[in-house]
Order: sequence, then C-alpha cells, then structure tokens
Amino acid sequence: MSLRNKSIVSKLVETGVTLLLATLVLFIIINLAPGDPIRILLGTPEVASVNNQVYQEKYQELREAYHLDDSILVQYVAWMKNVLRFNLGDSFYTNQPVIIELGKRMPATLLLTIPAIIIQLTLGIGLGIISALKHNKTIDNLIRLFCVFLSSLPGFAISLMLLYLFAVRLKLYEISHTVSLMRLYLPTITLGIISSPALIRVVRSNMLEELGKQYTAFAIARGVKKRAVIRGALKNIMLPIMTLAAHSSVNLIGGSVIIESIFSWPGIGKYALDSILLRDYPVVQGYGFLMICIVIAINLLVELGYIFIDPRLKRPERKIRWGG
Amino acid sequence: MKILNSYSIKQLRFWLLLMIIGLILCLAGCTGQNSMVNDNTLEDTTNKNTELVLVEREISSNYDPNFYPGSNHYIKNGSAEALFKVDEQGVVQPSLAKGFERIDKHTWHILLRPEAKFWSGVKIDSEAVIASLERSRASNIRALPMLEGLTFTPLEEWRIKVDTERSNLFVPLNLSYMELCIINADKSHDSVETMDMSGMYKVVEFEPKKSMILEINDNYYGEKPNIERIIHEAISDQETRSLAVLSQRADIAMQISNESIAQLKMDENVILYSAPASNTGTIYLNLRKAKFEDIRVRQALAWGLDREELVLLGSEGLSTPTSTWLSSNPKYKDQRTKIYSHYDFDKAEDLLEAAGWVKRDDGMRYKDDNLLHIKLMTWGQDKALGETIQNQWSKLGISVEVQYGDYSLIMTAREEGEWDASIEAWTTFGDEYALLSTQFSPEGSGNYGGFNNSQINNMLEELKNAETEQRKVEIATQIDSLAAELAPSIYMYPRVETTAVNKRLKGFQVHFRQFENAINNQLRFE
Repeated sequence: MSLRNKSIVSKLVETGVTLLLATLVLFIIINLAPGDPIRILLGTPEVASVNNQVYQEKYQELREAYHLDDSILVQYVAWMKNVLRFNLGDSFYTNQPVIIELGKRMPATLLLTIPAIIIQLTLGIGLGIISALKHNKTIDNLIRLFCVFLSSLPGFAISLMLLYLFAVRLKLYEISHTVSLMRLYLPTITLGIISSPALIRVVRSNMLEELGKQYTAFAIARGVKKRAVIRGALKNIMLPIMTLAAHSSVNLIGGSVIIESIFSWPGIGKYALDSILLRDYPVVQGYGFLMICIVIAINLLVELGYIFIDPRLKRPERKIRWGG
Repeated sequence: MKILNSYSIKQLRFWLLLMIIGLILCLAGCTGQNSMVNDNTLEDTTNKNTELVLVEREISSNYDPNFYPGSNHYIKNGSAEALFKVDEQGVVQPSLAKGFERIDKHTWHILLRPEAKFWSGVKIDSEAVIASLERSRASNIRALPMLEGLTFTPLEEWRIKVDTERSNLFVPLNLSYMELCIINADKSHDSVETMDMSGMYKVVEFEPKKSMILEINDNYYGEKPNIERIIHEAISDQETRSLAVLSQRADIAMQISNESIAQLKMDENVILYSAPASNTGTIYLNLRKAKFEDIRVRQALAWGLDREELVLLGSEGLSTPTSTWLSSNPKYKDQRTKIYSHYDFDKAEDLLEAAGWVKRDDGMRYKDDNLLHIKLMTWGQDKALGETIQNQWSKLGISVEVQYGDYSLIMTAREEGEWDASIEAWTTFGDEYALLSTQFSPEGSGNYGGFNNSQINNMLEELKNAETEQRKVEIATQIDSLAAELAPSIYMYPRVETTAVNKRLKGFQVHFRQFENAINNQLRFE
C-alpha cells in the first residue's frame, strides 16, 4: 500500500472514531441541559391548573412515551440504532420525522450559504492579494480599515442596518418568511461580507510572507513576470486558505443562525435555535448529528485535499508529520 | 513537476473562474431582484384590499389546535372560534353559540346556531360540539382547568345541557377560553385537507411554525369579512417584526417590543395599539426560605418598590401600577392602589430594622451575620425590569442578584428550590375561585412559594360556594386585599401587549386578550 493510500485509510478510521465520540458527547450534553421538554411541550395553561394530579399523570405518560426516564446510555444506544437506519426520530412539536424537517430546511440554508461562501472567497482572496501587493499603501490601509470595521461590528447590527436600509428606506427587499430568490440577495451578501475579514487577513499575511521569501526575489531578479510570481506565491498559500475556507464554510452552514433569524430565512440554523429553546431533543440531536457529519466530512475532504495537493506526499521514502 | 504545476494552475484558474461567475450571478440576481421587488411592491399596493399580512413571534406548530401552541393563533387569524368570546370590556358574549340560559346553580343550557357549519359544510350541532369539547379534554392538558367538573349532554339538536360539580360556576366564561375552540372531531386534523373548523376564514396553505394562508370560509354563518385573504407568518426576531410593519409589508405586527416603540411612533404610516393585558407581573417569593418567614421582610419589599418607576423603565410607561394580584382584571381595577398606595422607602427601612435586618457600615443589611441576599430570576426580555428592581431594593441595603433565563431554566430552579424570588405574570381574567385558588391555595400550581394561610383557605372555600355574583366579587376582593397585605408575592403592573398596525387598515380593535379579535370582520383597507 502506498503512503498516500495508507494515509487515506488512517484518515477514514480516525473519522469513524471521531464521529462516534462526538455523537456520544453531543447526546450527553443535550440530555444534561436544564429544562424539561415535556413540561414545555404540555405548555402553560392560560389559567394555572388546580388539578395537578391530572397534569402529573399526563406528564408521566408522555415521559414514558418518549423514553425520557431511561438512562442516558440506553437512550443513546436506541438513538444510534435509529440513526444507523437513517431515522433521527420525530419532533416533539410537529410530530414530523426530524430527517424530513431538516431536509425541508437544508436547501434554504445551502441556498443562503453557498453564494455567501463564494462572496467570502472572492472578497477574501481578491482583497487579500491586493492588500499584500499594495502593502502599506492607501489601498492596503483602506482594506485593513474595512476588515477592522466589519470585525468590530456585530453581525446582527450590520444585518439590521442593511434590512432597515433595503426594506424600509429603499423598499427593495421584502420581509417575509418565504424562501425565494427575491429574498436571497441581502442575507447572502451580508453573510458573505461579514465572514470575509478573517480570510482577507490570512491571504494578506501569507502572501506577504511568500513575497518576502528568497525564491520570489530570485524570480524577480531573473526577470520572471510579476503575474507569474503572484501565481506561484498564491499556489504556495493554498493550504492555509483551503483550511480557513473549509472551517469558514462549516461556520456559515451551522452558524448562520443570527442571519437566518433576522432575515426570517427558514433554514436549519433558525430551526435548531427554536428547537433548543423548546428543548425539542430529537431535533437538537438530529441537527447536532448533521453538523458533526458536515464538520467531519469537510475536515476529511480538506485533509484528503492536502494529500493530493502537497507534492511531498508523492515521495514514499519521506515520512510525513501531520499537523506539523 | 512542470506537468503538476500547469495542472494546478489550470485548477486554480478553473476555481477562480467559477467563483467570479458565481459572484456575477449573485450580483446579477441582486440587480434583477430590485426591479422584481419593485414590481411586487406595486402589485401589493393595488392588491391591498384583498390581502392582509399578519406577523407575530410564532404561529401554530400543528394542524390540530389542541396541540400547543395552536388554538390562540387559529382564533387570532379568524379560522377558529370558541362557543363564547369576551369583549373589550370583559363581558362574555355569544360567538359560535347563540346564547346561554342558567337553569339552576348546577345546570346551564347552551343554545347553538342552526345555521352554523364547519368549513366542510358539516353542521355544528350538539353532538359535534360535545365531541369537540371531549376531544379537547382527552388531548389538551391546557383545556383541563376549564373543563374540570363539567358534564355535557345533548338535549336537542341545537341545545346542550351542562352540569357543573361546583355551584354557581359561570359556564359561558369557561367555554370562552381559546383552548376550547370548536373543531370537527370526526376529522384527523393532520393536514390542511383534514382540518375542519368554524371561523370566518379557512386555512388553504400551512407550513407549521412558518406561515399560513387563509381565505374566506364560504360556509361561515355570520357576516363575511371584507379582506379576502390573510397571510399569517412567524417572524421570531422582534426587531425584524417592527421593520416588517415599517416597510409596509406587514399590516399587523404583534408582540412589539418596548424598545421598538419609540421608532414606530415616529412613523406616520403606523399606528400603535397598547393594551395592558389582564395579567399581573408578580414577584413570587420563596416562602420556604427562612428570610421570608417574617411578614415584615415581605412587606418591606412591597413598600420598597417604586412601581411608577418600574412601569416607566420596565414597560416604557405604557402600563399602570398595581399593588394587588386581581387588580389588573378590569372588574377589580379599584384594588390597584388599595394596599401599597405609594412608594414608601422609610416604611420599608423601618420594617426591615424591626425584623432584625440591620444596616452595617458597608450599607448592606445583616441578621446574625447573614447578609440579606435575594436571587431574583426573571425572563430574558425583562432586563430593564430586573435591573430596576435590583436598583430599588439595593437602596434598602439588600444584596440583589438578578438571573435572566428562559422558561426551562426558571422552571428547573423552582423545582429544585434554588431561587428566592421569581417573576411571572398569570392571567387574572376568569372565574375568581379558579384564579385565586391557583395563586393562594396550598395546592395551586401558581403558588410557587408554598403560601398556606388558613384564613385565606377558608375564604376560598366560601368563594367556591358563593350564591350570587355580588357575593363572589365581595369575597374575591377580600382575599385579594388580604393576600396583598400578607405579601406572599409582590405585585407590580400588568404586562402590556403592543401591536403595530398599518395606518391604511381600519377596524382594528384593541383588546386585553388581543388574540380574541386581531382579525375581525370589520377590518378593511382605506
């Protein structure tokens, strides 16, 4: 087996173990959180109940029906068995299968995050390179100021300002609860813009480092064209960019909760947030599981990407130290 | 190596090209978008007489109104009705039922409308109404307090006999609660096709927890509404709800936050309606804690609250101070300043001194070297209120820690006894015995602090058996006053419900239970 194949197998094994441990931790944390889902499910009567006995009976009946009195380990094993059959359970509130509920909302989240990632990468790489090439010049300062400005303003504040401008003042945006291309542009641009400063900084600092290296100086001295020098430097900083972009993608998919909530975009982030507040365990567990799978899958893809991108891995005689 | 380089460069070019195309598409979408939205806005303006957009924090999570949260949203958007409703003055009026007759102190007759039908055209007769009520009893825990001790018997096709275990229970009031909206019990209520209720609108599209579209119910027995179509949407973020009405996309936005009121007031296209709800913001004290055993400490806390300031800072000055629990009910408004008529800092200090809590050099009060410390739990949205209480009690030398949380956190703390004081606002409108029992009887589910007073227990028993309405009001007033004096809890002010309405929309009626008539058949666009 070649070194590359060995690395791939080892990564896949690591992935399986990580998935198992992560789901166990997730399950325990969710179940240990304060709050009783059945009490929330039953709701607070408009008039406080005098007959506590009937309430208690109903309460106990539901706890048993949802197996909430079993030990966490028993619940976890039962849940994992279902997960292996692609069954994430039913929502306490809508009684609909969680996998279907998440499936209904996932396209909305992807519709929001994929263009946002494209905007982030375009801004991040584009402005990062420009900033590095125009080091310490006005344009570099302006780009850095832009980054500081965006980083220091909370996402919700930027979102509300844009919503006010576009929906209230300019009447160019519709505030509703529907998913449509007409409602996509503002949250997408907001999400793309607010997530770009980190990437701009990474690209800028790595580019500066590469451009300051001896090989670049030699290349310039040998009369290599500026474009070719930049291209070479960019190729060498692909690994950190790829890592950051991958992590950022996970954050955008799982963490666009605020954007979804403010723009009333019915994606999985908002659904998860509502479910956390309602202690809708099956949904929170299902969402957590999905996020774990996405994080692990993206990390795996990144690491496999390293294997294919990094030419050193083509040489079987050299030992590779991962993460070094 | 050269091959690899050229391959990587090609890849890089490909990805860059892809990103640029994506960005161009996105920007093109934005540009095209503007004109589309503009067109739509124009279309909306011309269609305003046919469509109304109602937004609120949440909508129903289930097709079946018996699942929480359900019924109040269906009543709010005009798709469901209870047999009776309560008007703006708090008087019970016929709704789906035509009227009622009191036969004796244990028997009532409910008269139905022969012309009333469900959306499907099925008649709403005695059997159908009883089946719906029994379905609520079996499946909806929130309906139980209103159905407790009631037995329904069909007398005729349009007449129901109701027997009550308790004497002189005002049955129409119980049957006016949102949890008892009447639905066709023969249907499964698990999809739009199998829903069947009785309101002036019927649901034609529904995504649980997201949005609902309603159209006029052609089988409605009453006056048909003017507006043909209702779009009922959930917008959970409070700022976004305000912006929705400011942008004129939403015609009615409910649960407007206090923080948004100033901004909305400045907009000439929006009218704000604020109604103190019939509930009392109450600080429940954990009487199982030794520090609250002495009545003087509890009374000091009550005298040491400047309710005017609480109203100003906690509800933007929109509410009215109340010093007893029942006084937020319009019927008992005279009770408002009966006990703690004003803010009396000196009296509060004297009471604490008398109870042995002495101020030391650090400005805090101690008794037997124990600091007078109160852990106050309240809701996340009550930050201004929590801080104001903390400030006012701190002036008395009390160490106050305010903890903000959600329902689960507060409930868990109550169950485990890990709290000193906790804020909650139960409804004060309804049957006096049921309401007061939940607050002050030892078994009451709203009696969080474990209050148990024999005099009040006896008075509750007397209230239960009161023969006349006048006697009932007298006893309820006495219990309310005595409870305020004994101070197992401290009463502040009713929470305010603010609704923002598009100025062009006429016919909106303010109500202390706003769900009763948010959508009514008088609404129309000017």
